[in-house]
Amino acid sequence: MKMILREVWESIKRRKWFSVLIAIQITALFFTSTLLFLSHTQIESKSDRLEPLKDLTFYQLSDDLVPDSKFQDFLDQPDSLKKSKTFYENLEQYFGERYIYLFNQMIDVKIDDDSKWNKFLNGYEEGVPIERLKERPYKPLKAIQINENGFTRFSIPLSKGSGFSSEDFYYDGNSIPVLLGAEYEPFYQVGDRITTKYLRKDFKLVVQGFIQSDTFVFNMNNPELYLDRYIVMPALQFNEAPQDEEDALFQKLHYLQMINGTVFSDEEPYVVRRDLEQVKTISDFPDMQMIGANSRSLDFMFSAIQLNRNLLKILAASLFVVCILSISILMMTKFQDNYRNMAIHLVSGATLNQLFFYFLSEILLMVGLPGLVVTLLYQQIIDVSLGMYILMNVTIFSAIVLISASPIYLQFRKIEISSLLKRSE
Amino acid sequence: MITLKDLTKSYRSGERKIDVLKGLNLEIEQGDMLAIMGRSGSGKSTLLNILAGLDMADRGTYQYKQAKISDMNGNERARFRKQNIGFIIQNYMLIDSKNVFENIALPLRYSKLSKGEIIDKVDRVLADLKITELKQKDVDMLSGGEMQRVAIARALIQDPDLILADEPTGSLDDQTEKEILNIFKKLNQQGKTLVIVTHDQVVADWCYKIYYLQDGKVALIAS
Ligand SMILES: Nc1ncnc2c1ncn2[C@@H]1O[C@H](COP(=O)(O)OP(=O)(O)O)[C@@H](O)[C@H]1O
Ligand SMILES: [Mg+2]
Repeated sequence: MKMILREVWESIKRRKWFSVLIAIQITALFFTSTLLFLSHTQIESKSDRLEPLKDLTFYQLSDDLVPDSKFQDFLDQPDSLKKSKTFYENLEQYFGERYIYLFNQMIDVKIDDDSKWNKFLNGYEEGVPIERLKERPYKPLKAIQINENGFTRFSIPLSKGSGFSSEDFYYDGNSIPVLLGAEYEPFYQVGDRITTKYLRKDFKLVVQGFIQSDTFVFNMNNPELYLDRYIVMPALQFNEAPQDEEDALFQKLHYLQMINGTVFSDEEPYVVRRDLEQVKTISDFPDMQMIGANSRSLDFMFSAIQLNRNLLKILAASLFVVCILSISILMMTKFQDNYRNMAIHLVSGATLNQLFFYFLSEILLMVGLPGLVVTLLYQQIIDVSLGMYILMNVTIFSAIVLISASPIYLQFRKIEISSLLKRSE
Repeated sequence: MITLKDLTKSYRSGERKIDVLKGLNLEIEQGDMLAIMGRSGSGKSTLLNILAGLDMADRGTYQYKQAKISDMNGNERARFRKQNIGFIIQNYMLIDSKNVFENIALPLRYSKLSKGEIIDKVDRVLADLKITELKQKDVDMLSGGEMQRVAIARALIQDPDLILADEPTGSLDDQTEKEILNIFKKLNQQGKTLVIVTHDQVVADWCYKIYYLQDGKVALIAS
């Protein structure tokens, strides 16, 4: 063993810089494969569900009622509810499943003072003082509203109960079915009713199910919105005309929110734009624009990673080939250079097998050492799916060693001691 | 001690086949010191490599004491080399990434010996050859004569019975050549058997027997 190490060390020293270069290549290879491994394990489990959405571009719709005065003017128009409602219905109709509304608007819920609710409070995690959040009997809880397309296309997985049906998206005048995030599970049962105010209007919620933990969705503002502490409500449509002024205002606000959704599409941007112009015209609602096509969050979520993953894959593959080539070339060069030394070893009692073993050990060391270092670093710093990670590295290690050792192995199979001695003369 | 019977050996280089040994017969007795002469390319090194167990004849037998070397496989021959042969290769080859000590100790690294035993043995050989002061030197600091002594020391380290030397004085000046030959003489007096391949009549004259290798066979030309 000591003998082998000594020989390998001397051999490495003979071509120091080449060996250093190879060690760097190997390290880079293990590094890229680590990144690939990470992006794979981290994203794959989550993104399967979101696979259908990931290749799409998304376009955020935004009403133009920006200064408060303009907004107020619009609300004061007698037909503003009709306009925004029509606009919403046309969006649903023209864009079909391309139109997704997913918005986080908190909901005020009548709950006791227990600190167990703290984490569900809207603003709690952002550092809003707890006294402020709890000063009224109705406390603001995190909630999202999602339309039917959104619900189906994000295919939010449940651990209990049942998801929304089409009728659930129309208010029945009685109660709103909701799904609760996983962390609500200890506190509610399917069928429980919850007293709330949504946009200042009283509603009864009925718990219809629970969402699996670690489920996330995304929208313009949140590349990863984890639902564990959220109440998920259907984005309701109201068939009934409002009963009074107050109800009318509620419906106006509600619909004005629901038209600020997102179009997911793989069409050319001008097609989406054209469709939007059409909806604007037929709904007589010009105050709408499209912002943030190719939104950052999608880039962030998928495109970027996907692009980088492909780059990483190409990089890893080329490094793999380059490593094998350089090791083979280095070893063959050493083989040619070292007839003399090999001859001395042979007359000293070595066998050809032993000589081959020196070469093999050098390859093992050159690949194994960087691999080991990267693996140890990974274990220290990241430590995700260590078993799989080690398996991957062992596979890469074996592949490189086997492939790059084979030319030199064939050389040893072919050569006879006599010709080796002859060449060393 | 050694009987070579009807050895034939040919090499193939590309399409051509070169017959080097063609039915060579040779007897070597224990304690002998013999020279093998012959023109360049006549097969002297080939014969020496076969004697060392490094190369194999195509046909014929090689008997070393009780052992039939021509029947051995590669591993057995490696062990045979280790135990019985001291080989001084043409152009006194040393490994330049090792110092003198490590060059001499190399054959011991292939035997299971403790560090202490290795140091003892190397020290003894260094002293015998009067080169103790070279022990820790790098080999590229040595003169030709010193290198050859180190190469001899390596050949002697396992205390072999048979010493093979391929043109051991090829590029040495007369004075150094004489010193090396004196070493050989002394080794022979200690009971070693020596086979020396040489071009040099002076060297050959130090030996008891001189063989001439020609046309794939050896002939005794002086004794
Ligand atoms: N491994 C080999 N492959 C091919 N030809 C060889 C090999 N070894 C020796 N020869 C050839 O055999 C002949 C004898 O070589 P060698 O024994 O080295 O001669 P010498 O030592 O007498 O000069 C030469 O022609 C040489 O070229
Ligand atoms: Mg020769």
